[in-house]
Amino acid sequence: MLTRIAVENIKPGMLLAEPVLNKHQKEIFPSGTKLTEYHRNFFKNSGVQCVVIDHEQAPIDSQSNSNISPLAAQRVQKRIRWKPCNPMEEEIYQLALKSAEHALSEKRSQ
Amino acid sequence: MMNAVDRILKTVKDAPTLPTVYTALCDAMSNPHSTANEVAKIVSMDQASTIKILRIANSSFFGFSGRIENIQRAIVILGFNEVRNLIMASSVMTMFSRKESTTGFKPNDFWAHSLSVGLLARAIGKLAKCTNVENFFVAGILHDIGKLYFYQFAHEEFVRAISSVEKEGRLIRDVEVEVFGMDHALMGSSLADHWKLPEPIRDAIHYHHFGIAGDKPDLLVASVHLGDILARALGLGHPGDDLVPQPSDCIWDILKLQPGMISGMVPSFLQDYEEAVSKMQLQ
Repeated sequence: MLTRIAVENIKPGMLLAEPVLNKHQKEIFPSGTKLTEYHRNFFKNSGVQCVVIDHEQAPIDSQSNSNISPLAAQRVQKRIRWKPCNPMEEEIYQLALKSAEHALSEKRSQ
Repeated sequence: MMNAVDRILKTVKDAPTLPTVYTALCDAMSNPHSTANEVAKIVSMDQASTIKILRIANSSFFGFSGRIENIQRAIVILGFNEVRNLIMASSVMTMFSRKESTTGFKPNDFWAHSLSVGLLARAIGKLAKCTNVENFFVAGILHDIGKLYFYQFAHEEFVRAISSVEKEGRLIRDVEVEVFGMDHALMGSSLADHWKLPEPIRDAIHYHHFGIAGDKPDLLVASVHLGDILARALGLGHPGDDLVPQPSDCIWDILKLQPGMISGMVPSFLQDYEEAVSKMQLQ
């Protein structure tokens, strides 16, 4: 079931059913994005008032974190001691996770 | 009694100078009547620099892969400043040639990190729609040059600093302040002054931990700051510690990047990086 909700009512784990566009109509978050606290703050600061979410769809991990092993996540947590505050910082965090996973899988294959 | 900062800074006066080819080139470039051929003749006097420049200039990240066959053409295509910058970077890399590795600090890994920051700073500058990115690559390459100065000219203290970094899991810049009385950014900017490097490059070295030059928003400083953090996050090379600092808030207003831009740029950057590391023989 698709529902349009106010940004204030976003709860971590909800999934976007429609992409969120900026004022230039450029997509800033695709549908399927799992929302977090920082998305809610980002939307508030960017003037986005509501989003469409899917209550029925099973959560999709938009960042493919299901492929990240606990060991890689642990290594990144040791190196990055801050919480992402905006989408760009979240991208950096995700890139670090992918890179750590890649390094581990290369090590395993040696 | 002289304190640690004064003692280290005093040694800068006796630090090696950049080679004659670089100073001759700067002199020629300050003459508005100099031609590309005259500048090319000066560069060609230094065979090692010529070879290195052509190797770098023909890398795919400059976008002219395999088409720059001589220095005259490099000057015409890349411009006087970029060629001068490449000579400067190549000279500095040669100057700091202490090759042996100290536990926790390997010069080749250090240069691989610096190279990745150079490439990332340039790519970020382009994403931020900077119209002139010619200083970005060399500023990224030289941003940590202060560390190498410590490594080469205050070796014992630097080894002690690296050991603390490893034991305590801290940023090298914080330990440097305790050991040397200043961090590598200040050390690097003193070297940049000594070598009379262009001011934007000196500022990028000095302020790369802050992302802003004092209170002056600066695309180059912000790009090198973010490039450093991104290179650390991607685990490319090794800058002397294992941590990834949080970007300064101010850079997002300066760079005006949109979500998706950073991850979108990374795949092509990684290709450029692999090629550059292999061409610079850092593997």
